Amino acid sequence: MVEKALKGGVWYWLWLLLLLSFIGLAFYFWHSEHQYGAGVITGLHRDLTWGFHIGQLAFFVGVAASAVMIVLPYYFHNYKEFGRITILAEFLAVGAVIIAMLSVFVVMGQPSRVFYVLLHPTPNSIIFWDLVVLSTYLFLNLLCGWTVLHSEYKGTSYPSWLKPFIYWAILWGPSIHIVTAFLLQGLPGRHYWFTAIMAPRFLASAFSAGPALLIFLALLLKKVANFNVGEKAIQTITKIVIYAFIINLLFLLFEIFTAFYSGIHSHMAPFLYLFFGYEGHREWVPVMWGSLLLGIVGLLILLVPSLRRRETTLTLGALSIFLSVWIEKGITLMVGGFTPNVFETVTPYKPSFPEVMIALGVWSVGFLVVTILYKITLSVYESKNLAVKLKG
Amino acid sequence: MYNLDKVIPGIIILILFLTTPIWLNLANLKALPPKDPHIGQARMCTTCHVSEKGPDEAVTSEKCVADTQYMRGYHMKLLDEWREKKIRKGEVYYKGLDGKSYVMSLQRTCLKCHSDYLNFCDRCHKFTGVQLDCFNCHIAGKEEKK
Amino acid sequence: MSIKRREFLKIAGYGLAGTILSITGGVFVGRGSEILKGLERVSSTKVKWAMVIDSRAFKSESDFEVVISACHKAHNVPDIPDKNREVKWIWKDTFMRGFPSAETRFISEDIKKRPFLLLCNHCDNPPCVRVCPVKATFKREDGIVMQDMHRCIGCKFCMAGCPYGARNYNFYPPREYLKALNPEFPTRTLGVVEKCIFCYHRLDEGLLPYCVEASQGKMYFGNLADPNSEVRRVISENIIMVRKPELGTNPKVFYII
Repeated sequence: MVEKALKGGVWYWLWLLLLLSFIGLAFYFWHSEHQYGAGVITGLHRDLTWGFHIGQLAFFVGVAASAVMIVLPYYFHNYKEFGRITILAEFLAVGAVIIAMLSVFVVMGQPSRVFYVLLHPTPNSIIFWDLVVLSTYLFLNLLCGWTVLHSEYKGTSYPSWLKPFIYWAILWGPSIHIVTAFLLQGLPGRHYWFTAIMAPRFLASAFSAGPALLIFLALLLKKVANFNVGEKAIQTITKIVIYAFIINLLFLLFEIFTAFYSGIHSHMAPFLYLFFGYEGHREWVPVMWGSLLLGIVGLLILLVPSLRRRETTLTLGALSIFLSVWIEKGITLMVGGFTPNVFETVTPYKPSFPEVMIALGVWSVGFLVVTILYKITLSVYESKNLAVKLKG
Repeated sequence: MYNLDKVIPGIIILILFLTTPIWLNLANLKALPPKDPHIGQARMCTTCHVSEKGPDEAVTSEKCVADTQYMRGYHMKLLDEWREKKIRKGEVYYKGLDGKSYVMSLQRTCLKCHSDYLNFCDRCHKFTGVQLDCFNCHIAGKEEKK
Repeated sequence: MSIKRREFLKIAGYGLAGTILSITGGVFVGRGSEILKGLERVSSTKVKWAMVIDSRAFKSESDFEVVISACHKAHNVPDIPDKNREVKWIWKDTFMRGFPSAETRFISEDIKKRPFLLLCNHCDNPPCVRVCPVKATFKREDGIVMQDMHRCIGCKFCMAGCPYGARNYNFYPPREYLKALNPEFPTRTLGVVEKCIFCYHRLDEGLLPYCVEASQGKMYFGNLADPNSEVRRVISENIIMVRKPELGTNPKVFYII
């Protein structure tokens, strides 16, 4: 099946070339970080040691976990409409896990020592568990997606030995995101993260942003590759996005209620900093309101039935929600966690240009994998259609 | 077999690529062992350890924590063991060959005698192509590495 | 009796699975008893190092300077001009920043403006140790929170975990910011985390930490587990504060107010 990735049009190869050049550029910046120091290359500092990249970890683990919202109805409840999009969801999860894992790798100061994590396993550290669950999830999704696609290729239904792995992957999806939330929510003195609702809120925002991205990708494939996952599938996923995003907004309100009704200053401070500014620092105020606004606009678009049935407005709505969650989880989650800092003062953080370029390279690795896997999937379905026509 | 005209050159290019270290080494005469500045002839890494007028008096005075033969082969193991004991287990002293106790410290014990970094560590390590990262942190004494 | 190939494979599979289970089970049981043994060892520990800093005694700029430079010179701590990315093992900061959860509205101007020496608290319940994925930072039996710079992978999780800002990441190549090197102590390298190590190397050889020695009686150091020790006496006779006690980290650096 792999050989199908080697036959493509000009745009396919140009797209791969673009991704590869981003990867090369990112490698250059990452390499110079280890030559001149993170102080020269990144915007990180003493009071904010996890920035843009760990934000990408949190966000893309969510995208990966959200595959469960499509996989579960298809395999567990036998919801046939999701037949085609399930494979897309599984392969998107593969790419997202790769992005998440690489995002952690690029922040390491001593990358050559990364395997110490396995050499000296430390069960009390959540990073150790994150590595375990993420690599397992990567393996499971590759296995399930690939095997199902291969059966499709041969024109049979998937083998029965795959069932346990599918159920395992379904259980594992939420787990990876819960573990990633645990990275942050158990730290003393980081008030913005120190909340039991962190893990559920992570799940809610993931289950809206991930499927929103999937809607966008599905509509894109329909346009550029003439691959239709089916109108009904997309409409069902849209409803998943709506419910999950409403729950996400509610969770945000719960957080704000707890912080402000209790009146505990240290709990209010990060919200004040993000939404209104703190001690004269207002760096992230427009970004935070922008995220909220995008989310509300996206939700309103999707809530109106006539708008969510039209493809242009549906794309717009899905993208708004995706962006809203990306800003909130991919950037301001980290900023709010570290600001105000442990001295209850503000040390502003801004991701540097090389830092963003490294992230762009990391995304490119993920999307390269997704592109190749999608290419194979599309070719398999195409040849099947052709065979049907010829027989027809 | 199909496409022989493409497969055979492909295999040849692959083999050439995989063996690049050999070709590069053959082309590079610097891979010969460096000359001993005191004796004037090229010898293996034993130069700095056993030469009569070697650069390192520590070896001739036979005061090392272990015998030369052992140190030559296993100094990295000993250093690793010291690191583990000193930093992670809180032990301080190591009983040397002569029965005396030595503080387990690269800088405060080893480098006190083996102070000539370039001739003692660097020469053999360069020749054998084993890259050292000890001295990214540890201070090698007067002869700082570049 | 002959068994069919299929059945044989089945039986072999069960056998293999059983073996793997019992081996991993054994590992966990083994680890459990090891951990218990470890707990016993800790509870019977005779030594628990602690420090008391008399904030009243530090008056002039030079009182701080002497102590800080004694530590920083001995440990080859680089002097980095970028204050947001500097490296410091012990440093001077204000009461308001060091004790942000303390009541400060009506306290005396003296305390409000009084500078304090801040350093790693060597917590009895250290969050940094809990989060480190490779045991590069760990608690010694005598309570010192150690940092193994050989092991550190530079993930900076401990810096997110530490509520005291006591940990330093090497954002810049440290050697370039050192004017003089102490040949008795290593420097660090780019991309590892470092911090105060309570001068474990000096304690192990029977000496006091550099800062305590240089403070000339303004800082006390001793065994918290010994009720007759000087630190215990000083703690019981004075008004004492620790930083952020509400977090349950149990700091072992105490301040006389």
